[in-house]
Amino acid sequence: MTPFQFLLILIVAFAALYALRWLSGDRSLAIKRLLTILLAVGALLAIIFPEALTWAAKLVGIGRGTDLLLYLFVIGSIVYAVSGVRTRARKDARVTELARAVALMEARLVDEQQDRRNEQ
Amino acid sequence: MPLDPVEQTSSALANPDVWVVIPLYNEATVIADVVSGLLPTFKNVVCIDDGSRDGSGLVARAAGARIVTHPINLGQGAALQTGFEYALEHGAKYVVTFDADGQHRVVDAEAMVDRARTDDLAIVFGSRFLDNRTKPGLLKRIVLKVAVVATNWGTRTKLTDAHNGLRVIREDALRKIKLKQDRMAHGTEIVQQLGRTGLPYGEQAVEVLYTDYSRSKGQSLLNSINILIELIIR
Repeated sequence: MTPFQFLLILIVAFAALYALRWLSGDRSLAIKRLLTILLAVGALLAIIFPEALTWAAKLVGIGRGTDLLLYLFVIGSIVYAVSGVRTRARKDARVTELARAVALMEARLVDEQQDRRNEQ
Repeated sequence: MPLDPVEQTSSALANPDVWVVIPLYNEATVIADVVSGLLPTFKNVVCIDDGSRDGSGLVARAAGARIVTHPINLGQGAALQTGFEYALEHGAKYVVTFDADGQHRVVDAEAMVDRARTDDLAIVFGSRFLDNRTKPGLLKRIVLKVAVVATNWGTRTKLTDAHNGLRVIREDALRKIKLKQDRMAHGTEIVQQLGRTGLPYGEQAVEVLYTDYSRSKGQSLLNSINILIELIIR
């Protein structure tokens, strides 16, 4: 094993453990965790047995293992970006609900004060 | 609720069961005139100050409107939704949506409320294309017409003007809609959701006053591209 392989293994292991600990979500959490474990195991295998990657690439009609890795990386980035947009939209919706609740509550207080002042 | 003297004298005429909802964002120079123009006809006016930075909310309150203040800017659709919830909370039977920039006429709003009452309509949309009073520029006319075609195609309605800010919505229709798109495409979303309620609707000819002020603030061509794309990709 080369020193670089060792470094890569350490990084993957730490990233996976960190992700397992801090991933969020209720229903999809278990699935996210399983995917993370699968991804980490795949990454570790690819680091320890680089030839396996080339073998897998040939299997799907790609010349080299590095190309397969690149394609997977590109696809992964796109999926990540799209899911990021969706996450942000959902967060925006929640912020809107919260801000609206605050605004309406404040308005209730101000209206109450105004009505009381009108009574006097 | 106590009434002040002005309200008592005109309350019979001042549509006590109607709330005018005005999304307000940085319109301090014109909002006072808009509010004071509305109050003799509609005693309940609520401005949703959508995080204005020019003191619009204070100006509108001084002019006699109720104010709901978004702590942060959320967009016009969100402001309308907030206004609807406020109005329902205050027992509104009808809500009039009205633009803050002074491009709508109070007489049109009044006629639309009367129409909703007499014809038993849940929704009355204002349209600037039912007669020839309004004179938008050629480019604006094309943009608005394309938006209308796209909106009718994407909703269950047959309207002549989809992006007019002047509407009357009855309480039962209000309870059935929930605007989710915060940004400008709400003009389409509100029509979509109202169409889906299946409640009776009508269109009323209104005049849109294109002042230099409203022109400088109006929807741009780029905005209508956004509306189109959001209609197609849902």
